[in-house]
Amino acid sequence: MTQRRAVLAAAGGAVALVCVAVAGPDVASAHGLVGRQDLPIPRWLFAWAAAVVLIVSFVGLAVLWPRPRLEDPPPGRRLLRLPAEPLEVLGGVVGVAAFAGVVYAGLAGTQTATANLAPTTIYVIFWVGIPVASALFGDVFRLLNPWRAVARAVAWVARRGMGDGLPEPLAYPEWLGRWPAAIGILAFAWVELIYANRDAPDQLAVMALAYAATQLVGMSLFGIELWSRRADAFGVYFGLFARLSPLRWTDGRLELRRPLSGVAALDVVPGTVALLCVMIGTTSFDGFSNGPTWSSLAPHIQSFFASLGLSSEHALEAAFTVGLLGVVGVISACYRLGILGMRTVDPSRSAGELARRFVGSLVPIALAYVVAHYFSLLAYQGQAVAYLASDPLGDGSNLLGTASSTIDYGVITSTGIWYVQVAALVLGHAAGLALAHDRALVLYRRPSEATRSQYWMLAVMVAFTSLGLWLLSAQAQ
Amino acid sequence: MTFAVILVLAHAGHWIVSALYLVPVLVIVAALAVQSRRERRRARRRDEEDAPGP
Repeated sequence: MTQRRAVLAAAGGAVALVCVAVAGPDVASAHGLVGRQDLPIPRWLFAWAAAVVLIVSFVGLAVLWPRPRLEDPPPGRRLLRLPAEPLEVLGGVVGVAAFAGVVYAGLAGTQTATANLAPTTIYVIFWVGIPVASALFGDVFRLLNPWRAVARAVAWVARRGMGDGLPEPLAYPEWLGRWPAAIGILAFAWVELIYANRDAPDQLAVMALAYAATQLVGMSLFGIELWSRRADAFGVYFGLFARLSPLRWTDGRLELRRPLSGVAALDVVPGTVALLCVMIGTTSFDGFSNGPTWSSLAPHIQSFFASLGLSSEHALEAAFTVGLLGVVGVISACYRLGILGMRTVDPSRSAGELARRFVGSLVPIALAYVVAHYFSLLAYQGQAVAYLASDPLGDGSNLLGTASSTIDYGVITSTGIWYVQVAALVLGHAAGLALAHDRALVLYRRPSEATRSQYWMLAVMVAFTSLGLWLLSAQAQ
Repeated sequence: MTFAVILVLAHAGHWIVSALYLVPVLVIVAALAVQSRRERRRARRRDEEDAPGP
């Protein structure tokens, strides 16, 4: 197949997939809690306005950003210096204590999900809160990471006991790259969105223990730091968002760096593109799976799996698994389309190389999808931690004196939530455009060539923005 | 067939509003297609001009 045909085929496929998705009525979000909104214009007009903002940003980048600024930024400005080791120990103790508390609550507490600390902590504070905190304050999870803290403590004890007798870690296979992280995030999303017992506190606790044990084995085999950077799904996931932050923690120093420069410095190893597509795709499926389009499709797929002999529950899980993988595939196809379009400007580079070179532009989009999709969950359900921390087992205790607190749904209006979601999507995609433009300036000799190479990336960004707003608009209906 | 058409038209209010979200994407893709076609034509003309005469 010629390159042009490949581009046209990919374009046709992507448009067809989006058409199939759009052909149904609007969808509702799984996690959105939205009341009546008072908007001055129809919601679809926000999508048009967002597209205009992106096009204007694109033109602005072409005119005002003629040289790379992010690839080789000036050194960060030091803001603060703290003793590194005590800080690591303190962070590790806090992380291990929080992990132990959540696991204990899951195993020993009530099995009513809303009254137990474990589900809310895992699905709201951990899964949604830490990405936001990472983007604002840098890699906070690295400091608090409980399995990394345990591994470091064990390594410290072993070094004192055995001295230089400790064996060297095995060489981490280069081809493995970030694939373990991609698979780990996909598995977590499967549990969150598909697994029938996803809210059962005891099962969440067991899965948390199993995950921690797997990480400890991996760290002991391949080394703590390398495993954390490549294979620990949550360490990698939060670490990617932390690269967006203007703040960077390193050896006890807090530095202020140029925004987005952390993403430009991302080492693109195998599995990185897949990881980013999984991150965006799973969030998209969360919205899509609650809509009527999927609701009308799912029973047919479920019947197919039931005819193969699966029980009704497992057939439904299998159907949703197909849907999850399908949406991840759509997101991957959209990105691939942009890359194939870029090849029309520079056929000398392979699609795989271009996909890896420009993958950083997906990091702010992944964060934008998380913020847009889960903001209301964090704003409202996040408040539940106040009473759950006081009564973690759901047995009526009041450890902190806050067991009687409630969720204040007036903390932000529905209209306010919509504006935050729109702003997150537009800013995220504009940041993605800036990252792609900066990378194009490095790869192509002339700025005009760099700009021309990004036309298709602009189309991808507008498609992702429209998709995000379409998914969100339904929950506000 | 008639029933299907009636069904589609009856739900037009739903899918037309959803389809409006696609408009910006289609506009940009169309603009890209036109641009690519123009560039190909320009390149072909350049090649023809550069080609040695008979």
